[in-house]
Amino acid sequence: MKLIRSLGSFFLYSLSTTGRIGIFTGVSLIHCFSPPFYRKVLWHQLIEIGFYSLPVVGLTAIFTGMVLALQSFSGFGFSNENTISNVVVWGITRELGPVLAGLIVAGRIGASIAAEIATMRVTEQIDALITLSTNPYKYLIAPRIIASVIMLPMLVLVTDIIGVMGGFLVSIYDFGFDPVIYLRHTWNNLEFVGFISGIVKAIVFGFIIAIMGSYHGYHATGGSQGVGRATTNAVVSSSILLLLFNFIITAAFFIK
Amino acid sequence: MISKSKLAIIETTDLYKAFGNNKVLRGVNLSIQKGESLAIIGTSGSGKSVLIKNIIGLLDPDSGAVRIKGTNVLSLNDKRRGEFNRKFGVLFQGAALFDSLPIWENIAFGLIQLDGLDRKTAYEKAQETMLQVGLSPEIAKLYPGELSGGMQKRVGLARAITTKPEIIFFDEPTTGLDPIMASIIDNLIIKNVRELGATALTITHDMSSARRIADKIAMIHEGKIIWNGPVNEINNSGNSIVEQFINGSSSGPIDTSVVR
Repeated sequence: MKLIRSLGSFFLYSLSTTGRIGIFTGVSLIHCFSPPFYRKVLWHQLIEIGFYSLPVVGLTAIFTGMVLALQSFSGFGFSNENTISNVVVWGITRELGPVLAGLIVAGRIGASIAAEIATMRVTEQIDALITLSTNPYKYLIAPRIIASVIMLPMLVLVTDIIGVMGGFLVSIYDFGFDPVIYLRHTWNNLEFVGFISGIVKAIVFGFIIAIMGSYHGYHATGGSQGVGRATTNAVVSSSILLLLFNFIITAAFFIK
Repeated sequence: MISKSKLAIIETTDLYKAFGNNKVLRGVNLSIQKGESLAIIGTSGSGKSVLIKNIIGLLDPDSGAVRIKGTNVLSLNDKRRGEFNRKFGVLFQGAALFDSLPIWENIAFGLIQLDGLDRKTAYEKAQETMLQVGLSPEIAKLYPGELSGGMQKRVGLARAITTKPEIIFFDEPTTGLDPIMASIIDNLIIKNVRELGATALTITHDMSSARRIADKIAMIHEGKIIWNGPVNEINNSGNSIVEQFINGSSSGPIDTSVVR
């Protein structure tokens, strides 16, 4: 009986949370498309999310590309320019580029959005915004969603390029492949649908990260502990949703 | 003859607010006239903060009415309510300064975002307001985290008055300050409220501060206003709860075991 009650309350809690997130997402979206637009805040967020994520995303991409080439060579026993460049370019553009960039940005930016908004909530800064006739959805949340949706595809594009370059470097300097032939095969193996699926994933991931960070930050309660809880919840929920939507988008693009 | 309610700039009628089973406001009736400075006193958990948040629009009451200059603001949509909030200036308990903005931009926030002033003019206006609250314009480009609590309160006060509001709310303006700094903040509040000709509503449990700032004092207890009158009459209120509070006595009708 106790187990059924616990399951029931968990089910109801999940439903109400889903509903709250749904409403929050709807309201946030409306504010993304209606004036006033805070261009200075948006510019700041574009730099924060895009530019400052470049080093960590770039490092992750180059090592991932290098490992992918190494594993293809030693693990699968591929030993020519065509197969290795194929694995690297497909793996990076279809999956690893968007997923790794998404997870890293979820950790870096999702946590930062949640912590910043949660701190503003528990220190009454959001209340102060309201008393200054400034809608917190427009001033805090909309710029973060727009910036995240714009910058994630840019970061994935950079991840794709650097990741492929990582595979190229290992192939040329470790395996002694011909650079011209390798690059030609890379170009030939690069498929438009795979690349576009990665960019679509990036847009969705950017949206998920900004919404989850904002939602958990905006509803934070209980001082510094509440800020910590909001940050953890934002990173965990956005990472899980990101992987779920990765599966859904992959299925939508590639399963006939 | 003009009725009292027509003269009131802030008026609450039968205001009720509960959080679950915790009934915080149990029918608050309050009236503040134009140019008046009213301090609401009460123990911790008596409903002071909830009352002010209901008036400002940060919380919605369960029932009752909040009239600002005769308009029931609870019936307004968000946009109209936002326009109404432009008449307000608020000094929050912890100052609530925006961490990501320098001091001058905190002060000039309303001027830039609401009045549409260009940044250069807003910067100059912010510096003028800083002088009004005894802050050196040299700190204009510092960030809130670099200031002491007293200085943050001054910045909060500067932000509250910079748009020249008609009504200013002070939420525990002296909490966390030493007695000298508390007195300085009180004097700044008196000076600036008088200069603006604004109506002021202060919530505090600091009796020295309430006596300095206010023309009138109202005491809230268990969600109701139990006494309301001029400052100079509070010592002879004839109300045992008020007497216990202003004397700071631990024994009396206030049940200290349930003070939250």
